[in-house]
Amino acid sequence: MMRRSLRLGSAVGICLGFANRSAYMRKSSVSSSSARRRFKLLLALPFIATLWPPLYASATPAWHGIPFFYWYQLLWVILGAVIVALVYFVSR
Amino acid sequence: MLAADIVCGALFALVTVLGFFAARWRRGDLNRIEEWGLAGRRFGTIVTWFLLGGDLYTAYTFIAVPAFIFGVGALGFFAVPYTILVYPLMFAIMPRLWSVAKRHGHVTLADFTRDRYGSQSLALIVALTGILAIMPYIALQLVGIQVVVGELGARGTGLRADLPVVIAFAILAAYTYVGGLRAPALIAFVKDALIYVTVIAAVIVIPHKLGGYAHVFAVAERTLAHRPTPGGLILPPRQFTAYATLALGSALALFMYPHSITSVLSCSDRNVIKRNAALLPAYSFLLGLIALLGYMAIAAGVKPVTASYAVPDLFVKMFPGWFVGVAFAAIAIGALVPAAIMSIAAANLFTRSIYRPYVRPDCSARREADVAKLSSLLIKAGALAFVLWLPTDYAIDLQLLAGGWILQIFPTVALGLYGRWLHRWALLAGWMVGMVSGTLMAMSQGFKSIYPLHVGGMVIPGFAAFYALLLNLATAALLSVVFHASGVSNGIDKTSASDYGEALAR
Repeated sequence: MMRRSLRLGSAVGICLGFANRSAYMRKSSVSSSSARRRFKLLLALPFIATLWPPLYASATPAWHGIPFFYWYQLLWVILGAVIVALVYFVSR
Repeated sequence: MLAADIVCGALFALVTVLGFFAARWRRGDLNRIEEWGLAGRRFGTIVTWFLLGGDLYTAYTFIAVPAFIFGVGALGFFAVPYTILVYPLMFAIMPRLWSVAKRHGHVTLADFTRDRYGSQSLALIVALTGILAIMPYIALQLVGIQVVVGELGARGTGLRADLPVVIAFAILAAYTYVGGLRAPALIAFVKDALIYVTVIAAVIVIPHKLGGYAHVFAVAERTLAHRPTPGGLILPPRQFTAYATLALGSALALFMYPHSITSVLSCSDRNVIKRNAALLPAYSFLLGLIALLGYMAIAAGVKPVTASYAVPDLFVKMFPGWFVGVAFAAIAIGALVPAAIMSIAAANLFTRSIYRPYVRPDCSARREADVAKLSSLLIKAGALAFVLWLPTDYAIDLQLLAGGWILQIFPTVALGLYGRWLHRWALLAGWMVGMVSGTLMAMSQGFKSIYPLHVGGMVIPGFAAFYALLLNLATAALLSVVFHASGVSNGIDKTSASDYGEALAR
């Protein structure tokens, strides 16, 4: 379980890290098209996170009585939207 | 149930007025197919959010997903990863389609295919696949209305039970004929508001009445374990591949459906599509909550006639009469919006890719729009006849097959947006292989979507449509090598690389 939450945590961490970098890049206006293309790779994250069920097919850790299997995927609905928004703002 | 009848009826009347008013909204010349069938490509971020939300998350989805969960447990939750993955795909692929379609005046995927590959026959199969796939989908929206009508007390047989559905559909057909895509776009505002209100109330009120989420899940787990075919709350390892291929295959298929494309092409700007790829997941979250209603129905101990009635029965048991009316109106109106868009999309396909090239090549813009309007009526009449005279199970089986069929145009359309290495005749052969193998796999399992693939000594259960797509792609790639090597003509591309990009965004 710990392992799972850690993995989840690091995925979130990566997103946030990228967010900071994006703000930095826009300020210094070095966002070249190749950097933008690299940002598009973020769109692969939701695929990795959801297409490998062993990662989340577990009852624990439950959250307010909701098994991990359900809240993990609901959380990824939100993370997926955040990632798409991020890529949108960076690529504009 | 009187209160429910009155509230539901009043909301339906409101939507009818809106539907007819829509023709005057953002006025355009409705005698042109781009105005009638795409609302002049003028919808901004907010209208598109409601329109696509109303279009993709249909009444049938709202009934079928919790019904699936109610019946089998965890596997039914694949709808959530499916609707997560749809949006990165939409973000990456659909702006390219929008740009090239805007540049060349394409109204359907078949229009694009014709210009991209210089092949009328490839365009024809894209159009036919679209029409074939959309018909049972329209029929299933009617099933959604039937469930609500049945629940409101007309569960008898014969004309008395069918009349409300016939009337609802006749009204829908009338305002779609008059207003085109503007009608469902305007109604979508009401539909989506009702759905949000209903679901938010449901996920707060119902678990509270049932003693909390922990209790709901505990009861559901016990009950599922004692079913004739036991299910569970947590996906077992033997279902991993099925779950993942169902999610990925469905996500790849969604934006091949004609009704999705109609809504995407009606955007005013490619950035509207990108913004919506970030905003539409709000509906996916809602869908996830709706899925959990399946477990609440188990915990509440409802005994529905079929699984489709699980959630409506739950509402009747848990909500006061007037709010049942709101919830049922949400489902019924939730059927009208996609049904309207689907019939418009099918009409566009028929007019542009069958009528114009094969029946009347020199037809005027006016005539084109008239044919589209008329065919939208015929398509709806066909779907209605289907539902009234054939068993509901046929519609469900066919819709399942159709989901596999529509995926088979993915190589032609989606990969075609990126390049033309896949040869047009190879794509045609791949499509044929995919259609036949997908249909045979589904039929061999008695119209179940999961096919147990035997590889070596192993059995890998997976989404039949996805396996068919792999065969399709392999055929297309292999034959492309052969055709290119032997110098078979690959047609003339009327589009150019710059048509797909940002430059033409405005």
